[in-house]
Amino acid sequence: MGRSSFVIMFKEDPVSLRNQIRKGSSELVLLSLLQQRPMYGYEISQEIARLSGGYFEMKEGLLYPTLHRLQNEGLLSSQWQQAENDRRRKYYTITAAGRERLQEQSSEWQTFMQKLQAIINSA
Amino acid sequence: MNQDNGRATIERLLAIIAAELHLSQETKQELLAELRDHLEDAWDTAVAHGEDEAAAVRRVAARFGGAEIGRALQRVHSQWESAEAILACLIPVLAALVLRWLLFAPDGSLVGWQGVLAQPFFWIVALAVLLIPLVQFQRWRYVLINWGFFWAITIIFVLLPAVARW
Repeated sequence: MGRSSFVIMFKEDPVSLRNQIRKGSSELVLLSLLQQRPMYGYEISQEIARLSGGYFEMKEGLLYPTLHRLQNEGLLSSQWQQAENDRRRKYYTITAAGRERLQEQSSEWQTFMQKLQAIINSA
Repeated sequence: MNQDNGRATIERLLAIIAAELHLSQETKQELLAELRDHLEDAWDTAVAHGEDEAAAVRRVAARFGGAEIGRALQRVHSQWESAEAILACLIPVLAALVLRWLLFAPDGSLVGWQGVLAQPFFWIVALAVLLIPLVQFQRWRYVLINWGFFWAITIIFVLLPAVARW
């Protein structure tokens, strides 16, 4: 992407920037949450809404393609468990490979934020 | 709106998502079961917070998304199912080749059933054909198909020496 289109994207479509940030960080968000404890899909969506104050609000169903992709990549594992009301819930757990990826991504994200902040502050 | 109407709304939404899924029946059912749980949990929570049942189910369905969820799930799972199918075919074939070149005599002659079964290497390969899919695949069916295919090839090799001489 050239510099001009980069600038236009930022100037004219802030919603798109927000969506891109959310999209780019969805893997990090899920791995971070699941590092705390195993959770099922609805619980994850509630936690994201609670912790972000609604900033990461999106179509809740879009959570599942990401969860399943991470599972296929071996970063998460899942297990069905019986819940109340005869319901079953699929709990996701972070794997060792997932923890490793989380560490890499957290570090990358910190660097990105520091560099971006430095540029913003210099303006 | 009663509970049945609410459930019917959820099932209609799931049917829209299911229409985008062209996967094995097993995978499809598991995906839909997970999405159904989410929708019912969300609906229950909204109703428990005092929201009207009809309004709650409509809001839950709108927040969840529709066909785009099915398309995104299809993209994720179709790649994985293809990879699993290719691997499921390759493992027993590779194992049979290993047996052919390492277990049987170089000229292709067989040592016979007793001889084959007495060799530890045969059992190492047989165990690998069972354990690799067990770790790799999410579906027990693939593991059992793999295992059955391996034994079928092995028995053909042993009973029909002409096949093993190629």
